[in-house]
Formats: sequence, C-alpha cells, structure tokens
Amino acid sequence: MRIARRNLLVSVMGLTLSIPLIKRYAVGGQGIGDLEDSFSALIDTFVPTDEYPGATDLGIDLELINLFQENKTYWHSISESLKAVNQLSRKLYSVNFQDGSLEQRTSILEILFASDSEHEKTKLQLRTLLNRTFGLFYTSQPAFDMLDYHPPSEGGYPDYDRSVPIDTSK
Amino acid sequence: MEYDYDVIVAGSGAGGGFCAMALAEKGMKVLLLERGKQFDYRTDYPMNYPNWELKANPLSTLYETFDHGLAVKISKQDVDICSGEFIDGKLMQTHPHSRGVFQYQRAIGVGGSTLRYQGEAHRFAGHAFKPETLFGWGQDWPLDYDELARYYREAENVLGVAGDPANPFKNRRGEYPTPAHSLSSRSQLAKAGAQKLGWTLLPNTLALPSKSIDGRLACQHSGGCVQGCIFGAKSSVDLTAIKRAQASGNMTLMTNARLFQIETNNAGNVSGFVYKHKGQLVKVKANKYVLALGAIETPRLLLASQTGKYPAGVGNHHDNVGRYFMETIMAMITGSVDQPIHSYKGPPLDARIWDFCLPKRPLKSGFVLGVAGSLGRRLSPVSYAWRTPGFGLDHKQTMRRTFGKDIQLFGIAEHIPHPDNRIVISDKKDIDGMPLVQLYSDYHDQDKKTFRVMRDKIFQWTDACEIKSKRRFYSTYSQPSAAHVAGTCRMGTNPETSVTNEFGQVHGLDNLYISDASILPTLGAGDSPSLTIQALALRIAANMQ
Ligand SMILES: Cc1cc2nc3c(=O)[nH]c(=O)nc-3n(C[C@H](O)[C@H](O)[C@H](O)COP(=O)(O)OP(=O)(O)OC[C@H]3O[C@@H](n4cnc5c(N)ncnc54)[C@H](O)[C@@H]3O)c2cc1C
Ligand code: SF4
Repeated sequence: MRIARRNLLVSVMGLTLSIPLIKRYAVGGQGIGDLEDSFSALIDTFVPTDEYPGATDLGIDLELINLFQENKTYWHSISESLKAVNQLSRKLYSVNFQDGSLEQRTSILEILFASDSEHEKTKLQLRTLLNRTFGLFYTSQPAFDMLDYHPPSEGGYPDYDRSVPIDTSK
Repeated sequence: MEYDYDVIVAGSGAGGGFCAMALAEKGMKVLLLERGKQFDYRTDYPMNYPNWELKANPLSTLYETFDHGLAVKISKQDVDICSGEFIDGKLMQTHPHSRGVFQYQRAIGVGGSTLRYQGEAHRFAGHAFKPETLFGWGQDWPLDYDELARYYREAENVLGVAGDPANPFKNRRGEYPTPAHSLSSRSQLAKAGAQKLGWTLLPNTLALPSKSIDGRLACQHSGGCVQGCIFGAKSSVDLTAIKRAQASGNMTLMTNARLFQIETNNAGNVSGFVYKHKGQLVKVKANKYVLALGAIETPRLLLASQTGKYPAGVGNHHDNVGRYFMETIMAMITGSVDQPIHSYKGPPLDARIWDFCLPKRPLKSGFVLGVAGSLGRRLSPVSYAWRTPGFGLDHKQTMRRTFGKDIQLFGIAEHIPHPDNRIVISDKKDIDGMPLVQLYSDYHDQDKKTFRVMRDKIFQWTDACEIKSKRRFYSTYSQPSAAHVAGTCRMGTNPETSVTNEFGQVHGLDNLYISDASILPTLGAGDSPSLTIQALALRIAANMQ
C-alpha cells in the first residue's frame, strides 16, 4: 500500500547512486575538512564491511556530511569529537584513527563509549552519530536483504505462518 | 427540565465508545466528549510512511499525568523478581532500591487506548468474578459470568472477533464472527515447547478480524497494532462502535474537549459537565452523565471535582475513589532461536496458554502465558538495531543472528486489589490546571508468590522451546509499565466498599455513571480487560432509562 522504502544509496556493487553528491571539503576551514577521513573511518567502524556492505559502502558517511554541513555549530562539535578520537588513537596506537585497523578503531570507540566524565561530550556526540548511522543503514534495501526483512505492504504477510516449517513431531 | 442531550459520555475508549454506541442505537441523544483528536489510519500512523521508525508515534504522546513522588521500596530478598540480563546464559539481576517510574500505556484520541491495543479480546473466566468466595481475597463482582455472557457475545460481534469455538477456556457458544488466525511461525515453535510440558497453547481470541467485515480489510498480519493499524483492519473503537453510533444519527462527537470538572446541585446529583475546548471552559447539561476516562483519569477527575456537597470529591463519600488500583503484573523472557521465524510477521499476540488461569493451591491468584515476536518498535531492523547494544562487527553479526528470530515468552498475572494501592491527587497541576496524580502501587505477598511461580513456568517453557540465546528478563515489579490498569472506582453492592453499583451508577448519585476500566473489581486472572469493559458498557447502556 503506502509503504515504499527509501531508496538508498550510492554505488555499492553496482547499486545506483541516489544521494546528491556532496562537494568534498565544502566546509573546509569552518568544518571538519581534513578530518573527513576520520569521520568516514568512524562511520565504517560503526557498521563495518564484512561479507555484506557496511555503512560507508552505502555512502552514509557522505550523506551525513552533506546533512550536517549546513550547521556550523554542529560541525564544530563533531570536529572536536573527531579530534578526541584521533588523540586517543595516537596515544594508544600511534596512528591517526583512520589509519588504524578495524580492531584498533573498535577498541578506541569502546573506551570512549565506556568512559567517564572526561569524555562525556564526545561520548554523547558519538552516540548520536551511531544512532544516525543505524537510522540510515538499517532502513536501506541492502540491510533488508542482509536480514531477510520484507517491509509490510499491501497484502500484508500472507506467509506469516509459514516462515519455517516447525517440527512438532518431537 | 429540557436538556440538549439525554446523556453526555466523556471519554471515547473501550468503555465510553461502546456505551455511547448502545445509547445512541436505542434512540438516546448522546454527546460524546473526547480529549484527543480523531485519527485517520490512512495518514496519521507512522507505518504509512517510509522510514516510519524515525517518526514519533502520535499515539504514544506523553501527557503530563503523574507527580511521581511516592517511590515503593524493593527489599533485597525480592531481587529475584526484578528485571535482569543474561550474561553467558546466567541471569544477572541487580537490586534497584525502589520500583521504577510507572509507565502508563494508553492513547488519547477517539477510540482511546484501543488505538494502540493488540486486540486481545478475552472473556474473563467464571472464577475471576468470585475471588472472595473461591480464594478469600478481594471482593466478588456484583454480577457473574452468566449475566455478562450475552454482552460478551454482542461485543464480540461488533468487533468481528477472530476465535476458535473449540477453545475450552473461552466458552462462546457457536462460531466466532471470524475464524481464528492460524498460528504464526513463532507461536508454532512455542506450541511445540508447550506440548513437551503438557501445556495447551491455543490461538488467541483477537479483535483483529481474520475476514473482511463492514467493508474493512481483514487483518494483514503486519504486527503493527501498537503503532496504529494502517490497514484499518484492527477493530479499534473508532472504527467500530463509534462509527455505528455516528451512523445512528443520535450522537454528536466533540473532539479536543477535555472534561475538566463535574458540577453538582443541592440534591447531590450532577448538574453539568465542564469541559475545556480551545482554552475555553464550556458547561453542558444532560439528563445523565457517564464518565469513561480510564482507570486513572476517572478517579482523578472525581477527586479533583470537590463540590460543596462532596468536599472529598464526587462519589467519594466512603473514601473508595482511587483505591484498589490494579496494574499489569508481567514477566517476560526475550531470546532468539536459530531458525528464521520472521518474528515481525503475524498478529503481535496470537497465542495464549490458559492452563494456569485457575489458580491451584498454594496459589490464590491465576496467570496466563503468551508468546510475542517483535513487540512495538522492535518490529523493524532499525528499531531493533537501536535496541541492540553495541556497534561494529559484533553488532552487525548479532543483528544477522537474531533479527527475525526473536521470541518473547511472557506471563501476565492477576494483581490482587488492595486498598493501599491507590491514586490520590497532588497539589501540583498540569498545564490545563488539572491536579496531577500520585500513584502508590505495590505487590503484596500473594502477588509475589504468583509472580515467582509464573516466572518459573516461563523459564521452563523457554528451555522446552530450546531458546538458547536468552537476552533479557523483564519484570514489571522493578520496571512498572501497564497497559491494563483497572479498579479505582470498583463496582459492588456495598456503598461503603465500592464506588458504583453493578450498572456503573455511582452510589448516592442518581445520574452519574462510570463505564470504563475503573469499575472492574478484579483484573481477570491475567486476561486482557477491554472486552469485559465493552461488555459491561453494553450492559450499563442497556439498563439506563
Ligand atoms: C499498547 C497497549 C496494548 C493493549 N493491548 C490490549 C489488548 O490486546 N487487549 C485488551 O483487552 N486490552 C489491551 N490494552 C488495554 C486496553 O486498551 C484498555 O484496557 C482499555 O482501552 C481501557 O478502556 P477505558 O475505556 O477504561 O479507557 P481508554 O480506552 O483509555 O479510554 C479513555 C478515553 O478517555 C479519554 N479521556 C481521558 N481523559 C479525558 C478527559 N478529561 N476528557 C475527555 N476525554 C478524556 C481518552 O482520550 C480516551 O479516549 C492495551 C493498551 C495499550 C496501551
Ligand atoms: S497485525 Fe497489522 S494488519 Fe493486523 S490488525 Fe494489527 S496492525 Fe492491522
């Protein structure tokens, strides 16, 4: 019926690009500019690529940059958080966040998510970004395919009682 | 005296909507006052839209209701009935010092809480009407099951209830208006587990018609009842009773009209209802008045209406208004199975086990068990992702491992009415100037005993279903949240211990009636209350001259 899922997103394995392309570094000076790679690495750490596409494969990092660049104050606070992430990465692994392995990046975010008041602002910022990333990723067709999810539509779920044969003989 | 209306009904939910319909259809001129708006299922509910999970649900809007002053302490020895998480298969429960903040689940709008309900349409069992005689607690109803049976039937017909006539626990004679839904995959799995334990899992009786009725679509098994049914299939009161009342030509519906005050005259009867509409107070008069605001708002209004004749609140001559509050006692285990059971598909609550509804010694109060898949917003991937802890590869793998494989086994138990479980009004007021509500509600010994037995049964059942990955144990004891609230103006034969008589008429007043969950003396041994509220509403209307 009325349900038509959003058409996400860019070219992953031949999928069509459907978000407006953003101008890279459009916010340089005011925004995250050279922190963009860290930002993409962050979004990739939230939903990494494995045998299924991850968030950056779907262009979610770009979409978020596009979305946020209108708001300079917000950009500024994202930059501050990215700096904190990078700082911790250099302290623990002597590399910028985006140059670390997925394991290293994951451990940095785990520390920040579990941290006390020292990183309270960063933690909140990361949590918001994580929720937004999930918001975009898990409403996309590739995620639906990964999860074998079929959104409700006209006609409903006539197969609701036939998802799997349940063996009731035991 | 000439009035504009024969009856004014305030509140258009399960009780008010059915009462208004029955009165209008017998030729009375009815004014129905409703605080909320009329929702259009085609446009107003979030699931009509892509990415609906990102939208606020207008049905879940919070209204300032409570002054949460009274925290109920939890003692250390009751930690075993508190919520917890499974860590490496072991349940870890922490000890909260007090019961959490009470979450009142309801909807404000034409149709009331049925806009959000999952359509369980249960006749209470015969024994639920006689707790005092049979089990020594509470107060017997002033009527018995047989007296209500024909009204149950009538309500089921209005709603097009889907049910199995062979269900021995719900003794309707003959076919239900529509056949029972076949069991969803998750409930088939739960049935296999129940069979191993010798328990009987049956299709639920649901006001989600399995066949098209009255020009509405049949239930499409979308699982979205709590978000509002976008197919107009669910038999919420706005699409059933209120439609019929409007078709009679005898009912005027006034939306966005909040009943604010009950006025009384020297004789002690109601002389008018004062409601607030667009910031203005308006007084309306009728021959008779019906309160149907729900089990929290009805006592709130009675207590707040302190008139010369009734300084402690209308109908509160014996300090019974607000007492004997009953909430939903619920325990639930959430876990996942290995098979892809597409748990987001199917009616949300499509199966029940009624074997424990009749309490067996040493228990004195009963409970029922049920199965759910993805409840509420956990239906869809993104909502599920938000509620699944963590991030990264682990999170993504957990999503793959568990999404669509979730199963929830739960129990709902009778909450034994107790005079100290009560609602009072606070000195603080909401934005309209209506006093806020202070709620005190605890579990007493018998409630805890039943809870523990019910919890153990759920654990047994979980094992029998081979639910290996258990994640959460949810308990309304430490996290109180209730969709089924009742009992604050209970009916009875004795004016000293009850607020209304068996026809919902407030003791001592000739022209004031109550037709909502507040008049229930008990909460049906774990069964859901709306059908009983609706059947009582039909009976109240039938007896009103
Ligand atoms: C999420 C959810 C799921 C549920 N599932 C089930 C289920 O499957 N089966 C079942 O039997 N029950 C279920 N219930 C419970 C059921 O909906 C309620 O028990 C039932 O609707 C209560 O009927 P009522 O008439 O007392 O109150 P309501 O249906 O809540 O109606 C009260 C009405 O009064 C209006 N109102 C309140 N104050 C004022 C005022 N001052 N002036 C004017 N109008 C006012 C409200 O807006 C509302 O329309 C569920 C409830 C919820 C929230
Ligand atoms: S399961 Fe879906 S289609 Fe069926 S009544 Fe509920 S919301 Fe409507």
